[in-house]
Parts: sequence; structure tokens; C-alpha cells
Amino acid sequence: MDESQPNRRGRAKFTDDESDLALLARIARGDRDALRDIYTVYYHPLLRFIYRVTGQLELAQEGVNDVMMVVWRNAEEFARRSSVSTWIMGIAYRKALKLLERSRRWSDRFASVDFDEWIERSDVPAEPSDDGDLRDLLDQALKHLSAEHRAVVELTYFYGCSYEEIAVIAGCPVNTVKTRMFHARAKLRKLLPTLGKDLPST
Amino acid sequence: MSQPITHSRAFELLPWFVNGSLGAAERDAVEQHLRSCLSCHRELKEQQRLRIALRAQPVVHISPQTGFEKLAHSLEGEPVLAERSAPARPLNAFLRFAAVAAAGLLVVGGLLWLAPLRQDARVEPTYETLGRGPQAARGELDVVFVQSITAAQMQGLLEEIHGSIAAGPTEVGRYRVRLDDPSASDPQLDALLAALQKDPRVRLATRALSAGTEP
Repeated sequence: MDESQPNRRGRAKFTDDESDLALLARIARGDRDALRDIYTVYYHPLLRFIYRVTGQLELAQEGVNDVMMVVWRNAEEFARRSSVSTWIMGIAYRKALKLLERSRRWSDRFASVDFDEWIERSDVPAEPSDDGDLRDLLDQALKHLSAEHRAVVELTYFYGCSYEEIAVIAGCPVNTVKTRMFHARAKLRKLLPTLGKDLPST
Repeated sequence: MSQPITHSRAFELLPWFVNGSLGAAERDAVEQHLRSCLSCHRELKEQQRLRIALRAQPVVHISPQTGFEKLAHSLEGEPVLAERSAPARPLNAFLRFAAVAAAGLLVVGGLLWLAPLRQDARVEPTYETLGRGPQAARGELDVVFVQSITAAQMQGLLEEIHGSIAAGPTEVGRYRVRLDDPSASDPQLDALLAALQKDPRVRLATRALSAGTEP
């Protein structure tokens, strides 16, 4: 880790730590208006992140409220060891994995067909014909990654997190983050051979 | 001049080089490596395209309002943190017993005192759900999507019908969808509903039900 750099570089870009800290201090005093404000700021980033990890919109909506309940109950204990957004995304990460586990337990009990396995066997990627198809293809490709790998991909590419910050969010060593990303890239490359030619160049 | 790094290390760091989160030393080292490594340069382009594609992936735009109302509802009865966080003083067993007994008496006394007033003092909740919300406005539909729908597919459908999520989901998964054009005529709405009912992404589509007609 490069110690010469500021601790919070690469922090999720959708929010500002100073205003988050002020909101958290008000929440710690029981201010529900502050809870509403932080809820509004974090709603879509959390919804997207939990949806990406779980792949289910209903779980994502439930997850956002689970996360915000933890924020409400533990605002006082926030120890400033990371930015507020890293703390909240860490809560979201753990909640998303728990929700996914719970959902899998239920579907294992009732499902007679393993669609994931079926998709896994159909190893010829489809050719996207328009933007909508490309979105679906990318959606499908992401579903082939493990939840932990999807989280690393999403936090890196969408939220602009550094690998150190992802390690804090996921509660794992930095090398694990790099390894997860390495495997996720390899799998996406295999599943999306057409991605390069169908997207605008930079 | 930065320290040179190995090919595998530079390759490993490319996603974070692309998202701009590397520290100066690592960023410079990767930049230096990229000047002489065709394979990493190609991978850099792929990473940039993947990042653009992922950032363009939509998630359904749902108003935070409904979610917050649910959270606020579940917080009812929760003590505010100021009450929760009052430091506990050490009490010996007698004091603890006395405190519990006194609290019990206070609660019973309070309930007796409040009992005749409860009817008047009841405060209507300020949140609204689809079941007890405002009357449905013209140009609003109630839609239940298939369970397997992805956010991208839902967003795609909403874009096709020029609508957005106004509320929901209810416990049975019903969303209220508001059309961009509220002046759609009855035949236009009927045609849209007929199309939605045949759409494989939709389980149920009706005109928005008013509060009194919710099941």
C-alpha cells in the first residue's frame, strides 16, 4: 500500500464525507430528518450495489432498509476508521450476502431446476443485436460471477473504489480483492468476447 | 522516475488504474509499463470499455420515498438514540428492583391516565402506501412484473411505455406506474394495457386501483 497517498482516495464518489459525518452525528442524537437525508443520498447507490450482488431487485429494496436500520442503530459507534461511505457500503456488502444466502436456502427448497447450472452449460455467448441486448448480456455475464466477485467488479468500475477500500468493505485482505478481480476479469472476458467491438471506444 | 514493475503486477492493477484510484507511485509505474507493453495496452482498452458498459447499466429508478416510509414505519416504537445511549448507572440489587417496580407503576398509572384519551390522541400516520394512498391519478397503472425480471428489463419496459415507478412494490409485488403523458385517452390506455398483459415481463397490468378498491 502506498502510504504517501491520502487515506481516502478512491472513496465512493457519490457522496461527501464531511456532510455524511454531520448527518451521522445528527442521527446519533436521534434526528430522523437526518436519517431521511442520508437515506435519500444513499438510496440509489445502495439499491444498485445490493441488486448487483444479489441479482434480485426485491432483495435490494429490502437490503437498503436493513442497511439504514443498522446505520440508525449504530451511528453513535462509527469510529472513523474509514469514510462514512466505506462503512455503509461494508454494511451493505454483508447484508447483501446474507440476503442472498437466505434467498438461496428458500429457492433450494423449492426449485426443481437449477437454471444457473443450465446457463453455465450453454457456453456459447449470444451476439448482442442492440443496446438492450447488450445490457441483458452484461447482466447475464455478471450473474455467472460469484456474489463476492460481482461486488469487487461493481465497487471498482461503478463506484470507483480503490482496492484498499474494497478490502475494508469486504472485510478481506487486499490480495484477496486482487485475486477476486483477476478471476472476475478472466470470466467476463470469456463470457463477453463481443464486448469490445460493441461498445464505444474511449 | 518510478520503480519499474513486473508485467503481472501492472496487469493486475489495470482496473484501478482505469478507475483513477491508484496512488501516485503505482499509477506512474503502471503508466511506464504501458508504454512498452502491447498486451497491457490492449487490456487497458478492454478495461475502459468494460467500465463504460458497467456504468451505463441502469437500475430501475424507484423513488426513495416509499422505501423510507417503510423504514420509518418499522422505526415506530424504537427509542431515539438519545434515550438509548443514556449511560447506565451501577445499581445494586435493591435499587434495581425498586427502579423496575417504580417503572411498572408508572406504566400502569400512565395507561390508566391515558386510557380515556387514546381515541382523541391517536395520530394518523403520515406515510402512505398503495393501499391507503391518494386516489389513483389518471395515467397511472398498477403492474405486477414476473418474478424473474431483471432491473434492466424492468427499466427497458418502463422506457418503452414512457412511464416511471411512482410507488411500490406492495407486499404482493404490485408497482404503481405513472405514464409520462397523463392525458392518454381511454382507448389508448386500453391498448397499452392489452399490450402489457401479453408482455412476457408482466404478470398483471390494470388501471391504477383507488384506495377503496385495493384488495
